[in-house]
Order: sequence, then C-alpha cells, then structure tokens
Amino acid sequence: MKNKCCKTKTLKVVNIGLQTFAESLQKQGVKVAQINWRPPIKLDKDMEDLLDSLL
Amino acid sequence: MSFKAVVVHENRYADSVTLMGVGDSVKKSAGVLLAEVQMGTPVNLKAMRELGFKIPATTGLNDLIVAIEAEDETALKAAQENVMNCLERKHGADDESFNSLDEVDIADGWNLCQISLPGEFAAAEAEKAINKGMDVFIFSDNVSLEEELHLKQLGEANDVLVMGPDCGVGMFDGVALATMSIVNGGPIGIVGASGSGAQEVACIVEKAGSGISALIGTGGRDLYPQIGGLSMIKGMKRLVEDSATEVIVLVSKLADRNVMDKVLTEADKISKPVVAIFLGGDESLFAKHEVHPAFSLEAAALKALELCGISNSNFCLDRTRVEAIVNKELEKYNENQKYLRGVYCGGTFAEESLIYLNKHNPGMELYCNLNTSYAIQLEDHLHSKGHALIDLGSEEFTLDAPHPVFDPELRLKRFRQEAADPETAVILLDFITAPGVHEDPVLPFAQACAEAIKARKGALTVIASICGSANDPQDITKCGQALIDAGVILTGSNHQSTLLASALAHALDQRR
Repeated sequence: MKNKCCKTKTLKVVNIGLQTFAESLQKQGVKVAQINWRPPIKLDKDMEDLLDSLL
Repeated sequence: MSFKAVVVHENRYADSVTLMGVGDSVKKSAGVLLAEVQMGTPVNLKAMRELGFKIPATTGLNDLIVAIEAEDETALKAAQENVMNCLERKHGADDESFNSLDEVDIADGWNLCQISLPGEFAAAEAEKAINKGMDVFIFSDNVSLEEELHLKQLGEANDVLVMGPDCGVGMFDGVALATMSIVNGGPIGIVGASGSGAQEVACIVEKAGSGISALIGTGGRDLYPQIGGLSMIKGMKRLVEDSATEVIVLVSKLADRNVMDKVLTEADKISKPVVAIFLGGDESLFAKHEVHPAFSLEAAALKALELCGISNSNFCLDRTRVEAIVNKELEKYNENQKYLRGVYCGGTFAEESLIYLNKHNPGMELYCNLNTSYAIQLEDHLHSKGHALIDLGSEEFTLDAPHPVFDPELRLKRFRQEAADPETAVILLDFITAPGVHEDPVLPFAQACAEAIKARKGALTVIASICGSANDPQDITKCGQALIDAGVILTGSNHQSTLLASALAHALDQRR
C-alpha cells in the first residue's frame, strides 16, 4: 500500500535542496533525510553526439 | 599586504541559501577582508576571478569554491576552517542522508519528497520520487508547463499528489512545509492554487477558534488550461478520503473559466461540503453548481467554519466600528494628505485589496506596480502616485533582492518612503509569519511605524494584518501588540484591513 501523507500520522520527508526547509521540519519533530544532491555533469554538444553515436 | 587563497572542494554541492549564510558568517571573522563561498557556475567563477582569485581552469559546476582574502595567514587559515565547520554543522552528524533518491526505500516510511532545487533540475528529481510512489512538494519555480503537465499526469498514474511547481505552502499531520504557518489542527481541509491565499484562509480559521486538517498547495498554474486543475481535483479527492476533514475549501485566483467549471463539477460530486473562492470571480461562476461560493478569503474561512457548526460572529469588522475609525482618522489629516498606499509582501494580498478597492470604489483612480486589470500600472515602480498598492514580492523587486518574506529590508525602505510622502494619509501593510520565512518580519516595522507616526505628529494611519499562527516561532501575539503599541490599527485579516482602507480612501476622495 502506498504511503499517503494526510492519511498517515508519521510524515517522513526526503528533502532535496534548501537545507533551511529540512531544519524547519526537524524543529517540528519530523523525520527528514537530506539528499546530498549534485548537479548532473553537463556534457558539451560534441561529447553528447559522440556518446550517442557510440551507444 | 593581504593574503589570498582558494580551496576547491571537488564534486561537493551546497544550496545557495546555505552558502549565503556561511559566506556572511565568514566575512564577519576577525582579519577577513573578503570571502566568497560559491558553487562553480560560470557566473560565480567569472566574479571570483574578477576579484583577483586564481581559480584552476578545471573547476566546474559540481565544485564548491572557498575563496578568502585575509590580513594575515593565521586569519586566512582560521577562516578556511570556519567555512568547513559551518558546512559540516549544516549536515549534522546524526541526520539521515542519501546520495540520491535511488537509495530511498519507501518501505521505510518515506512518504513525501520536498524539492527546492534550481528549476532546471527539479522535474527530473520529482519524476523519480513520483515513480517511487511518494507525494511530491515542489517549491522550485522555472519548471516548464510541459514538465508540470507530465509530472501531474504521472502523479495520477501513480496515485500520488504533485504539489507545485512553485508551491510555497503545505500542511500535513500538523506539520508545516516550506513557508506555511503552523496552524492548529481542526476539521477544515484546504486545497490552494494561491499559496498565501490558502494560508490566509487557514490562519483566519485558527484566529476564529478552529483549525485545519491539511493544506494541499497545487502551484499557481494548476488551473491553467494546459494543466486542467489536475492537482486541485486530486487534492480534493485526497481530502474526501481523509477522516479528519469535514469541510473542504478550494482557493484560487480567477483562472481559466473552463477549468474552474471542471473543478466545481468535480466538487459537486463529492460527499463533503465544499466552499470555493476564485479571487475576483463573481456569482455567475457558481450558478450551476452546489458548491458554497465565497468572494473574499475571510468569507471562505468563515463559511467553512459555519458549515462545521463553529460560531464565528465575533470575527468580522462591523460597520459601526469602521465608521468610528474613519471619522476619527479623518480629523487628523492636513489638506495635502490625500492618498492610500499599500506596501505588500504577499502578492495575493495585494490582489485581494485591488479587487475590493476596484469593486467598491467605482471611478477611483488606483495605481499598482503590477500589470493588472484592477488598476493603472505605475510608470515607475519605485515611485507611487495617487492611491497606489505596491507588491514588493513581484519580479521587478526580487530580481536584485530577496523576496520580502525572506528579507524585509527593501519593504521597510519603501514603507519609510511612502510614510515620508506628504500626500500619504493611509498605509496598508500585510505580514506573513511561518517557520520558513524571516525570523523577525514584524518588529522592525513596528519600530518604523512608531517613528513615522511620531514624525507626522500622529497624522498618519497605518493599518495592518498578520497572516500567521500562534504556533509560529515569531510569536504573533507579541508582534501584534508591538504594532498596536506603535499606533497601528491591527485587523484580523487582509480583507478587514482593505475594507477599512477603502472606507478611508473613499472619504479622502469625497473631501477633495
């Protein structure tokens, strides 16, 4: 069964982005996991074309 | 002589708000002349190189750069360590973390994914979370309409809620998300395409003695024809299933007529009473529907309370009180004082006031910085004329400065400017409190109001309301009292403030 946040009494949040939002939830007693997110590597056009042709 | 050093932390990310806080903290350290803590975007790299920092050519987007100039080597070393301590402290050792959404197992109870990445990256992460079966709350803006539609259709297929993009408020199980107030629990469930509008309804419900079961934000474009109200309809259905919700309130600005009709048709089918407000809409929208209509945010909240059987008769501002205030204030003004000025941080509040003033004062010349059918657009957003309402949260102000709910400085400056204008008689203010907004949004204004009223020897009317909860960290009781002590007329809602300001503006026009 899927979790539905206004049906369960235990909200558990995965936060991606602003750390302040995670802290605000933690202060309210919510279990929060932060994703150590990194921007995807941006390939230039030539490299993309090369990879496309190889794959 | 000074010492400069650059340390590049490869493949390490921190968000812009965190980096701003760390940078500010390090700049204040003894002996530090300059400190830049930034991700290696082309713009940041260029700016740091222009400041004379030597950054390796291989540095890129995924790298975090700490560039410091200090008076001596000891200060430089201490500052470098301070940066890393600040960043480590942000990631507390006991906090749970994942390297990507792929590592998250919903069997462990993770049920909501909150995303506030730069817009270009938000949709991809949202898609992963939806596919896992999590509800998603997307604070990020700059997500395309096509991506929004895709995410919301995917949400339908996976039976999850997609709140946003550009969603600022939400509340589940008594927990406030993003910039939402910590409103008391109660029987009223809200679905809002207008964030501050939905928050105002929730806060009025609390002020009138009750509370909310949930608040589901949809993002401001949900009722666009391309999206078709997918999240509003989904949110409404979620509240039907929620046993704590007795009455549902739908909140939106005036939207596409067909989509509003579609939403109301869905609302007609559900088993719980529904109140709907489309700010600026009229009775004709509701003609063929069973939904309870409301035409102000306050009226929507009070109708919902009434449907729950909760008395709210003491909440409204009655005509006798309005007349008494108008008569008292009018005696104070000199002949040069002719105009009302609104200095807003909440866009929905500015719009609510514009709609009311426009409707109740036909022929009134009303100016605004926004491009809206309710007022004449100001030629120069930095200078008001006539009766004017300014939304300091609109793009022309936020391009160079943080939004006024996060940093009140710019709005404070504009307030002082309006208060010093000899033609100003009345100033209208809104305040928003919540865990996610500025820690002290009201008290600096209370001080500025006291100074402005004193400078005008009492001949200035300031009217204000606070959209907030008694549970917010800013302590709205203390904030409200500070405003009253400063000589401000504090009302229960932006609607009440507007009603009063409108009566004063009308009386000022009559006097001319």
